[in-house]
Amino acid sequence: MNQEALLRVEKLNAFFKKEDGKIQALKDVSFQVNKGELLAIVGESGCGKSLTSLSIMGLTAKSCQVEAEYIDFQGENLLKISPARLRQLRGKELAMIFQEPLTSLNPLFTIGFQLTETICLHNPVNKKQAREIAVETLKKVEIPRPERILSEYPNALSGGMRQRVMIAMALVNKPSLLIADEPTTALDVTIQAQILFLMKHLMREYHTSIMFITHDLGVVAEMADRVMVMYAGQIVEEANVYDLFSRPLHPYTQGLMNSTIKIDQTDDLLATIPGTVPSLADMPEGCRFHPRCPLAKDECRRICPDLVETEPGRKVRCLQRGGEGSIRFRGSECPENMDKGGNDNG
Amino acid sequence: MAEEYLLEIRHLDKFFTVKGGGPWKKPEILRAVSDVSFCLKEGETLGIVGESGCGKSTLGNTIIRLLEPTSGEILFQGKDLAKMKKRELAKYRPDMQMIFQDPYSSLNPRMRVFDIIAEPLRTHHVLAGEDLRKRVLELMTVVGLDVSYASRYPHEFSGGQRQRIGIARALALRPKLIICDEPVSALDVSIQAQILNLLRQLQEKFHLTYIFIAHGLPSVRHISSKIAVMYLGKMVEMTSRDQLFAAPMHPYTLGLFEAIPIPDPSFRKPEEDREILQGDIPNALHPPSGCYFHPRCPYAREECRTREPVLEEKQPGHFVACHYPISIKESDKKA
Repeated sequence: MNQEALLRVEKLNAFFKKEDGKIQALKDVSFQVNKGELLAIVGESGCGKSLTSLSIMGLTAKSCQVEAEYIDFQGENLLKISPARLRQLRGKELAMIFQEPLTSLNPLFTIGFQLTETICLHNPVNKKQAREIAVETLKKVEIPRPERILSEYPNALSGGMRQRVMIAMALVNKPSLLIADEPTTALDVTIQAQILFLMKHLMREYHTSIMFITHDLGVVAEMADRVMVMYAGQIVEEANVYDLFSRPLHPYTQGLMNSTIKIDQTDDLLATIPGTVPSLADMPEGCRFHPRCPLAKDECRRICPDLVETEPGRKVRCLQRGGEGSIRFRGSECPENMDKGGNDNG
Repeated sequence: MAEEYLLEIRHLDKFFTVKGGGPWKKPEILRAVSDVSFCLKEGETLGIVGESGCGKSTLGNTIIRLLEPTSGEILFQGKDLAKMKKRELAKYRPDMQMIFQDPYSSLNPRMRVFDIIAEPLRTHHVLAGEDLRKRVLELMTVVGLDVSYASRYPHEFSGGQRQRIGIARALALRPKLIICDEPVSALDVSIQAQILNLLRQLQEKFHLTYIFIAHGLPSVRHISSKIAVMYLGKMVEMTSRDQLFAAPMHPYTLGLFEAIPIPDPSFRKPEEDREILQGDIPNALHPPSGCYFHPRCPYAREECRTREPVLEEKQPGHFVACHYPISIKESDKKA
């Protein structure tokens, strides 16, 4: 990759301790976020997308054990640096927005207090200056009457307004990386459109890279530059957003896309992925997707596939697609849309 | 006439009294559902869409009288449910069932799956003993649950499977009408599709009529034959599905369409071309004057601020509550 990496994660593993041993929730997650890019992480509940972001931020629960070769953020290994240094980075260089804006704001303090706290912690300013910066930032996130909002408590604001405050709080110190964990899932669709628009706009203005976690493929298509698809604690596919949508390689990605209801699709039954996501305690042998996979063969039940780069910037974890897969690509069991993809490939 | 319709709602209102801040403050009236009317034929599906707080769930609950209507008529097969006494109503209850949004809180965690599905049959003394067992297992098969799970508890199931249990329970009494209150919004994408397919298959098989309440337009479009759009307790637009998507007439409907993220990056529009609805949904306790939508409406004029529009049939079968509905030409241009 010729782009400059901001964050590089290598072989991230996470375990939860249970009475009867450990449960692995993330397995060998490696990726990078480049400067100025929006990387979307997609997957269904329990696939490990949130845990990945919490591991980077060092915010995992005590019962969770995080291991990695390195989590390199602007030349520093986040796993090795002191807690004091990590605190310095968090809120300043690394910021995070959570799904539920009501629970991530403290109901006992005013918006102004919570916002100026973040400013004062990381900048050599007095209270009055901090307040000015706060008003300025609230204006940036298009909050009407920012001076009044500063003295309000979170319960006085609507969900969309709270999320704007959260975004203001995350961006006030101009972070280089913003991790947004399902920032619009709890919002109504017209409000979601406003927030997404705002995030894109601010990303450009502040030159911030965003790691955007979501389960909504529509949001991914609107927002992302690059996409990483996760399934059962592993990355299964990684690609540029246009490639991913025009030619998904992993059967899981294909399944997700087919079962997403298109707005112009009406009468026929929807394509579905049979079965459900396996539980972490009871992972299938071999490829983790094989029990639900329409293309599964014998080898899939035995061999756990690696994440293989099939072409520059594209990776896939599938025996039927990756590596020598391009030959099998035109196999009879391939769905129609894949045949087209295969020809493009060859 | 009335016989033709399975369900006919006329001017239904549901108001809540909200206590003010202090003991001296006057209670205020929240108009959660106001003046809603529609008809539904057997085998049809009415989709009700709208954002949070628009009254769509309250409407669903009021129709089957989980909530007492404030005024209006609910004609089910020509009989007015709104005025019925509890005992008389009980006779009609088996014909109307509900599927809830949250498959976690809508199943009793202390009951086994078998008992959950059997409960309506027992309550209404329909079946007992071996017949009951047979019927429950049959229902489990119909919704795609393994009959060997009958003695398990809800917590042992995933969200999608729990929703199947809820559907089996709703089907137990062979209802005519099922109100589905956001049945898929708590589920993962791949599971949503499974449940929507199941609902469609069941509709064909048992000739069911659905009221499908959701905030996700794509799922509503997929399953509905007719769609009603609600905003702050009122219906702002109602027509057949195809008509609504081909030529929406209310500016709010158009705003909703614009806001849906399209799962295809090649449709990405440059930011300046997107018409995003500005502003927040107003507080339902103090709705704006005139047309409730006017503060957010890009086409609002003076009249909208003062006079409240009523739901009118502007084109055959196309009902809109707007003084200046978008003409067909204009919406074509936008689409």
